[in-house]
Amino acid sequence: MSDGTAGAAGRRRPRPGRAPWPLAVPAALAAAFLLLPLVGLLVRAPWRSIPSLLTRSDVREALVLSLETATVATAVSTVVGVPLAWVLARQRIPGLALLRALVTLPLVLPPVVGGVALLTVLGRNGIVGRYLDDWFGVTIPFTSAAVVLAEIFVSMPFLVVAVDGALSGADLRYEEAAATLGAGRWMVFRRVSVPMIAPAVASGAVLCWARALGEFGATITFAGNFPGTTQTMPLAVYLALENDPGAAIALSLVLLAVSVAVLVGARSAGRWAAVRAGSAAAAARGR
Amino acid sequence: MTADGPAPRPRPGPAAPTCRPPRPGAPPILPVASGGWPTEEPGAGLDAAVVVERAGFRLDVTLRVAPGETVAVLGPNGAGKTTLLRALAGLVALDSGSVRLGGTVLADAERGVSVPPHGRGVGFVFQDYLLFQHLSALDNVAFGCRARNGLSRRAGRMVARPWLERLGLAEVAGRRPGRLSGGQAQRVALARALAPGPGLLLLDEPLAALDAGTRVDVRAHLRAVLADLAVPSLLVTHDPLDALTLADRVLIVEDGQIAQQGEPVEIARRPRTDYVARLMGLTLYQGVLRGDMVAIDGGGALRVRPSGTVTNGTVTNGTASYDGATNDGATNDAATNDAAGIGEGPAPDGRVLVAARPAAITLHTAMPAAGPEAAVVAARVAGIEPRADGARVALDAEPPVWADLSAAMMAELRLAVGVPVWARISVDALEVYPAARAQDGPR
Repeated sequence: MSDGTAGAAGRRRPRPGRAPWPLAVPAALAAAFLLLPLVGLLVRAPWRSIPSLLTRSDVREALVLSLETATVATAVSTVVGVPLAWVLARQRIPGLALLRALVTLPLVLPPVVGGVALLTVLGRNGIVGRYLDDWFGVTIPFTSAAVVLAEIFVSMPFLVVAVDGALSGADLRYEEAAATLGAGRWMVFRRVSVPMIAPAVASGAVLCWARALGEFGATITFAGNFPGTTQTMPLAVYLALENDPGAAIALSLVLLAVSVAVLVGARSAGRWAAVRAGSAAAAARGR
Repeated sequence: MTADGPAPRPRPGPAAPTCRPPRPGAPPILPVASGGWPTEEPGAGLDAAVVVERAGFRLDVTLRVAPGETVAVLGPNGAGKTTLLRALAGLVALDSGSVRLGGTVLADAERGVSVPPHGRGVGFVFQDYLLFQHLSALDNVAFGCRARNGLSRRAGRMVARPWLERLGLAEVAGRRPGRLSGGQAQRVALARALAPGPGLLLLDEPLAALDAGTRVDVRAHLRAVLADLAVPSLLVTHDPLDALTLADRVLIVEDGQIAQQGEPVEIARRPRTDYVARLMGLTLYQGVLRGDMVAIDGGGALRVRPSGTVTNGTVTNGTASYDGATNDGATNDAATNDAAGIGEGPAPDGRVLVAARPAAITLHTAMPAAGPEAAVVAARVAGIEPRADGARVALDAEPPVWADLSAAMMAELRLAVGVPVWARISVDALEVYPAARAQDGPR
């Protein structure tokens, strides 16, 4: 670190010095704790059997079901979650603060509780489900639709929180400028607000999708564990662990790969957007 | 396009704004002469009484702006200038009063009418441009046409492109705002406000965010656009130069009230408040005129050119009635007595304002001859503020005096704080006018 000055000659920001040990040691522990399990997965993975595992129909079904339900859940969350975030950020209605707190409750609620709660509403004897059954003959629990609903319940708050924050932080005067140009509120939202918050919507959707993909507790409670219809990858992993630990590890690796791919994709997309915005800002300042 | 029959409700916008390209060969609309209000025609122009109340603040401004007229709104920070524009645009609700544009009621607090901003057909140019970052310069300009007139993307661009060309922006049409310079961005913002054919143009400090060089350029564009504009426009600024060069009329707003209004020349020569005087580089005194002397309120007196109708010919000259005493008190007693003595005659008199030009005031180390055309005041240097080409010297005297000296004079006089000097205040350095507003300027 003593030769830092030579390297820092052309740099404006001073390089921070070596971390003091009361910070360095816990930091190393934390990093090890987060990384070692992943290493464990890689070490213990039955690499040979993975190809055959992936061609097994039940595994393929679980994987496809997971991807499909997570995607549908994310789409639905976006379509209704962005308007909800707009209302939370922009409306002045009494009780809105309470609503905001309740809407984000699923973030901290144990997912199993969420599943039970969904059953009380949409279960065959639930307060809404009863009528769906009586009048339309529609039963939701233990179907793929139930999987989607469970995932929406636990994951939509991620998107709402992200978009709410972006809308609250956005400069309202752009919307005023649009209004003076003759754009009504809906057009202002569509053509000015949405482009402004697009990065937040995207990152919120990625979080939402990742959370939906990993959803376990609410799904198994509300949708059960039926291969082909409600058995998603996390459920398959859990089930496999009881009679075929190797398969469980392999399936976990698949989920890990999907998650890493999404994370990397979102990161690079985000960096691309940041670079574009940053260069734009730099250009605006420079000239 | 909608049929332009009798507009039933103020839904589509009062002035029925239509997107149109700029008129390239059209003769510039002549700015309506001062007074601004050519006829009693109620249908034309902006007619507004704006009252907006906030905690500890009240904006109460009544104004009329004729078609083609540009009114500059000048005032210190927090005076309510921007609030005034926002109220006219419908971005702030009126607590009382009304806004009429071209005979259409845009807002009337008593009747509970308020056309929303998007229905007003008012163009707004913001200090920091507020261009939509996700749209190219061309699409920014086309935005209003697409929003207000429902034009297709292509039709909107066809209207927008001539506007960019008119403002010298053809080559940056495809750029995003982030890749425009400040001057370009503000010109795009101007084109964006003009393209939908607004019935009123509001400019909120359009040049404030620009550096000096760019400002000259954008100001020239702005002047050309305003000269050609057939609708009323309001230009908020705190730069007197903008107000004096771009506007047909200037409105001074202080503490939410109109402090003064008039033609630029009038404002520049006869400020009514300290704020305006400072802006124009003048020193303002209040006092009582008797004959050719004004007894200044805080003490002291100034010799002025006898104004208007009256002069009592007997006042031959008071040849610096100050006896060379360095004692300030004595000097001023003498001056006051002198003024009182002269003031026997009938008065054009009464309360007046005196605006002094610091550049026309000279300082001397030896007592100069006053002559009939000047007063000489004993003073002490209270402060020296360096300027580009010399310095402004604040003098402790009765009345307090400010003098602008060239660098050469500064060197010659070797002034320092505390040094006693003589200030010679020529009558030519002073503009004297009644304190009471005859009529509140053109309304």
